Amino acid sequence: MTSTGSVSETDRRALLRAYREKGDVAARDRLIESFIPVVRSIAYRYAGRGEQIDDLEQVASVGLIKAIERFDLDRDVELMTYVFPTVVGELKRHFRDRGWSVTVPRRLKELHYRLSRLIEEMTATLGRSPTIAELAEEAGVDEEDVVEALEVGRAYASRSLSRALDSDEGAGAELIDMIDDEEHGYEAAENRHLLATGLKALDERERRIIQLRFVEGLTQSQIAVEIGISQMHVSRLIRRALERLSEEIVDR
Amino acid sequence: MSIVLPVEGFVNVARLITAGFGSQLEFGFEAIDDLQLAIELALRSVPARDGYATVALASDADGLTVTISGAEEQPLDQRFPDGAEGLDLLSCLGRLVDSVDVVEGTPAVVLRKNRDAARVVPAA
Repeated sequence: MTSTGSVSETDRRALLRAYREKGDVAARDRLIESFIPVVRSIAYRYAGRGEQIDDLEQVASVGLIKAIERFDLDRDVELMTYVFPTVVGELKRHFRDRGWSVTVPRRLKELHYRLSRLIEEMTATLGRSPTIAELAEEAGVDEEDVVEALEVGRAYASRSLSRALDSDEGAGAELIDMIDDEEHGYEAAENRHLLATGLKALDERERRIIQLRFVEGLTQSQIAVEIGISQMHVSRLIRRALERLSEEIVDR
Repeated sequence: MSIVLPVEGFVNVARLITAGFGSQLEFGFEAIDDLQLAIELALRSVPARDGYATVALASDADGLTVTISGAEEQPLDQRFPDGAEGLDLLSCLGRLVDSVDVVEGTPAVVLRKNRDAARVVPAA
């Protein structure tokens, strides 16, 4: 029987069963906590590839939660043997789906990362979106550098999330299935004939973001909070969704 | 200023110039990004003239006006259906900028981002 820290496999299965059968969220949280050292350990393996360790731990944690949600208690498989490849798969996808699509100088990559964080922090602090000049001052660089770094950020690919996952990456389902099953607002949007043809070309998260931005009128910052991703990632997803919508409209 | 650029592969040029203008006007980052998105959307939608479109930017004390114009022989309204019942390209553009005008004949899309609104993007 496997045991990591003070929680055994038997304890973990009991916690998962309590969560699944009784909706015991506290049991789920304890289960998650029991895996945190493992998740951190896996995340550190992927450090030094241009991503912040905090971000990697967050990605790995998403993998852990997915594993816990998906694990089949009736199968004679230890939870750890399912969690490990799922977390690794999540990290692999992170690098694959969000890698740089063109060669970008390290200086600009690093500045892009810094700006991404600064935008989040300064938006919260200022109560509005920072200007280029404010970002430049805070980052200690010229405004031109800020504009350039933000522009090369467009090269930070955000590829399709709808590809089937490789079997060695854990789940054998489509990533989009894992992200968000919520159908919030979709039916209403479609009932309003909201670019029905074009929207079908989008995945669920893109549709949701389009709904929030262009129907409900939320700002990128507000959508970022709603979806749980960064403002710059929201921008990338909106851009990609608009590209697809535009193609659908022009082609029809 | 005005630039003529290929609608395929050179959108980043329009984005960079727009960011420069927006920075001078002290637009917030998010307002600049929205304006860039609107320009990209318009550039993809105007009928190109032999693959080219014209982007003209004019700033004043109150904001920035961007005019994207394409080939004269193709009517713009087919590319911008006025779907009153739902969301169409004009509606999308309308969320990204403060005003959108379609000039028939030229044809052109005129986007306007006001300085005050661009400075005050509410935080989440």
